[in-house]
Amino acid sequence: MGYRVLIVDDSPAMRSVIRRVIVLSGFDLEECLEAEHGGEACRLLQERPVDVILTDINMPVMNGERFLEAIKADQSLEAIPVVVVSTDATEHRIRRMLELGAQGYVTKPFFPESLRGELERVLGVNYG
Amino acid sequence: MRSIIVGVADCQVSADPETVLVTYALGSCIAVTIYDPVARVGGMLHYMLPESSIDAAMAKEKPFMFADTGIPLLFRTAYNYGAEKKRMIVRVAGGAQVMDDQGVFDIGRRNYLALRKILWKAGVLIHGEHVGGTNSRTMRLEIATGAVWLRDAGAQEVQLGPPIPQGRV
Amino acid sequence: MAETGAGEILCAAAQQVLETMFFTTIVGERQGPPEGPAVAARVSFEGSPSGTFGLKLSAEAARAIAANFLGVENDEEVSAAQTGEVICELANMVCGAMLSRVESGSTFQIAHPQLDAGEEPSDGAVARYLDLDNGALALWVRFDGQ
Repeated sequence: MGYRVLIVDDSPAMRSVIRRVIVLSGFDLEECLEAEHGGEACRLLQERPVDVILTDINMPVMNGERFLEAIKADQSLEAIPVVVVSTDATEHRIRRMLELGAQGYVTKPFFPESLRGELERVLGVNYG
Repeated sequence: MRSIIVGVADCQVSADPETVLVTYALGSCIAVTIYDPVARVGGMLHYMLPESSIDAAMAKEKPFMFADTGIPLLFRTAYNYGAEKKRMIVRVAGGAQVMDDQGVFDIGRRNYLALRKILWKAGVLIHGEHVGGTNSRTMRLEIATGAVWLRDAGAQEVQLGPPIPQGRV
Repeated sequence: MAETGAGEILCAAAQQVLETMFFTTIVGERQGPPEGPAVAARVSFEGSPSGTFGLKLSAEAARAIAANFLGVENDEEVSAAQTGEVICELANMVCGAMLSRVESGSTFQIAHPQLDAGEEPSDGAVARYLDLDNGALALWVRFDGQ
């Protein structure tokens, strides 16, 4: 089964690294959408369904916290699992994002295995 | 059951289900095991130093002494036995902080960084690791099952990484 | 924040980030910033405290670090544009790692990093100059109101 993924991060370099980790982890990547901020991500989500969203927090225009609030308030999007990938390792921010409905949280910098493990847990799969 | 010892700056690859690869006295050195559960091929490398550029002549003579020459050769040897990179299960041990002959404490950490860089660039993720600390380790790989066992300085032996489902494709 | 505290936090944040995703070690301190061709970025942040963070890497270190991050075998395969993008993300991550270590009750926001000429502020900044295994690095942070 192929996965459709949305990666939201204002760094093209980080987006390419996240995409590479997903592929190397063994996920069959059917489609990989990318957005530079929450506003662009919301627009993309209106057009294309995805199976999982990975989002940064600090981004221009619409940051990850406001983006998460927006999709959890949208009945057609609220069930999509969200994994936060952020430099913010503070307890209050992690707690806030989980309270807003994020299912996973990976702090930057990360080993690729940490992101793999979080994705496997959130999607309920194991590729070994 | 046949034990093949992997020494320091050494590497062994096997497809023989009777074989167990084992290495001892992993201090600041790193041992990398790879296993393809479909081809049932496994290999173990025990390397000492991160970069071969410090001694190109030595690297030609003893490629398994260095991470950057040893790791690619470990994988290539396994491919010759029918293993495939995308199926490879990688477990790693060692990289402890110990004093070596030069009195350098951080060679273990540098060995670990070199490993991560090489594997990331090669597009290979790690499935289990037992690294750092200060203790010496023993590691063994069972070719029949792909199971890796680790002993940390005389403590009980533990299995490293998730068990490999038998018959996985 | 005391200068030595900020300096230590800068170095600890840089070491954690450089080792984990850029496979680069800090080998020691140096007297001044990198000389010669360099790649630099700065990023402003808001919270408690607010301020600006910057870093500057010698050009060969920047390219090697970019190849390491992207997982590219040869430094030559990485374009100048890609190197710039990677160094911006490095600045973002070191700044975030630094702010995550600062004891603060409030959340922080980091703006989008910008490449720049690498000029350190002439006053009020805490700076550290480091030798890496692949070149040289300068880090600085200036907190507002100091």
